[in-house]
Amino acid sequence: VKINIEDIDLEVITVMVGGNPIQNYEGFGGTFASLADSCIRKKVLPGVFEEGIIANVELKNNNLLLSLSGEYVDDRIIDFMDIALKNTGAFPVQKGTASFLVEVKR
Amino acid sequence: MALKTAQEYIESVKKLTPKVFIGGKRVESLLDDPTTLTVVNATAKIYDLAQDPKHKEVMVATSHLTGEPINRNLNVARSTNDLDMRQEMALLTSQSVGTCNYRCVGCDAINGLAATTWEMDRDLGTDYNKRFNEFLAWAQTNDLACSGAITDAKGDRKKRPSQQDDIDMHLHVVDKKSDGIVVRGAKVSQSGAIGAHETMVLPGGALREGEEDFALAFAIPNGTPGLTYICQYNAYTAEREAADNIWELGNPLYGQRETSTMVFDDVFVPWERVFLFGETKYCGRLVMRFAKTHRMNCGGACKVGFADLIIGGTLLAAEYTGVEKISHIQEKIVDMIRFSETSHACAIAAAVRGREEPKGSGVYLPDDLFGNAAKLNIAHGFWEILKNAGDIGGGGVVTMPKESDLDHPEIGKWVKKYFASAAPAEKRLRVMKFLQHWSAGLHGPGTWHGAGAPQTQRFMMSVLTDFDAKKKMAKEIMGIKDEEE
Repeated sequence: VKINIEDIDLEVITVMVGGNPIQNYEGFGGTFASLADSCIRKKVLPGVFEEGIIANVELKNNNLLLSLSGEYVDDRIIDFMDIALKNTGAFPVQKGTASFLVEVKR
Repeated sequence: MALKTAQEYIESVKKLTPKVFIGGKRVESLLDDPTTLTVVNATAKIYDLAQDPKHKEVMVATSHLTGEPINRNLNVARSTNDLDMRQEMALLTSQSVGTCNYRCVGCDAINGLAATTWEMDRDLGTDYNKRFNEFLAWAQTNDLACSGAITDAKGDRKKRPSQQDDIDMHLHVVDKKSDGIVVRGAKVSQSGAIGAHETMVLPGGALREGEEDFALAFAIPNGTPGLTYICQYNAYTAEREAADNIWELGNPLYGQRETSTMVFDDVFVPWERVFLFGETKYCGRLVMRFAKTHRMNCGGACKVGFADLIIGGTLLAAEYTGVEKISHIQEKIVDMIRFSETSHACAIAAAVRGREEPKGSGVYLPDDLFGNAAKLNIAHGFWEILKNAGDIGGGGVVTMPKESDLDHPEIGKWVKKYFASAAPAEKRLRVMKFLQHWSAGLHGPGTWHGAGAPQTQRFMMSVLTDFDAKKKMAKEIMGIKDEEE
């Protein structure tokens, strides 16, 4: 069996903070579902120590809309999301068209 | 992506913040805690070895999936040469870090899964092998560190998983959803998951019809919410936490073997990462395939690498005290080599006598009898090696003061004076501590139980051996004829 890595159904997820696209992440299939499950069922951002950080979460198809509690500056939120995506097994990428979106509001 | 460098691996785990507890305290950074840092150091060293041209044949393989060069820890053996290089990798990594390489169980789990998912797809028409191959190709392309988790908490050993008072004693599924499953339970004595990107989770053993909820194999990223790692805590942990200077410790950079209990508190696993779900009939085969590979590597190569270090330290201890030419010392050193090399010979035999399993899968697994012989031999031999190291190292191995006492304003002069022998006190204390780390450390019980306690190997060897054939041979030589013949 030969596999072309380009043919694998990897997931590209765009993270938007404050309405701006910040970074694309690529993960194996199910990465977005794992992240969504963490936020909705567990009410946590993977790898982020701060508890009760998720004020509200909404899943619409392939879009995850997160509202965070607390007074965090954008750079801190970007850092939270970087930690969350990396702890879900995704890596920052420059390439690829995103099929999934995580939008974060304060 | 090319093979990761050690530094790239370290960069990749900087933001990995799995929920890790050591001695009741939450670890905030894997790189800042002195104990978890040893796991990162050892894992980084394995990446480093793969970059070294002189170790390329052992550490680097060609992916049968992508055709690209990959770290051998992510390789599926496709020939007896692959198996031989696999066991040589276990030897080299142990010689290089003097502790667990933390990717061994993951590698052997990958090989067990490659064989068994192929077999399930053939027999059942499932698509586990496709899923698994895609996951593996992705892991190879990103050069991910994959650890492995097998052993359940088990509870009351008299009872089957479904009969336990607390069903969580064996990892099991608690919810099945459209996009994945939710699992609960624990895996114990797990080596190195805290510093890995992913962990391959297998069933703890063979399962029967009616135990489908426990029949699970999957891959999980280590920062997944619901996963908690409760690390081992012992005198060596406390010593490292208290140390001002790690070079006073027996294995300064890489430490003792670090394990944890992985608690799965309703952890979500997407279907893409599930490689066995409910197929009880295949659990025993999967675990057996993992075990036969792991016994070759763990028993016949990994511990042989440790033995090389212990023998080296023992030789130095003998030289530093001036006893290296005494005949009984030399005999004991030779005994240490005998115990070690016979195990390595079994690993080489297991690899060379390996075969494709199942036929048509393209996956090669080692000879089971030689692999079990390697593990059983070293389980006993390792204690003998440790005993001789303690013997030749002398009582000072456990009665020595702290190395930094050499610099103490009041007692330093006496430590220098009375611990000097055929070598200065500095060298003697350093090698004594090294031998203490082994002979009074955690590796004795670790070697006994790792890859299954010896009773498992005894059972396997009795199953794999044709006793009747041996009796028949003996009868023929002696001319014994039974009435029915």
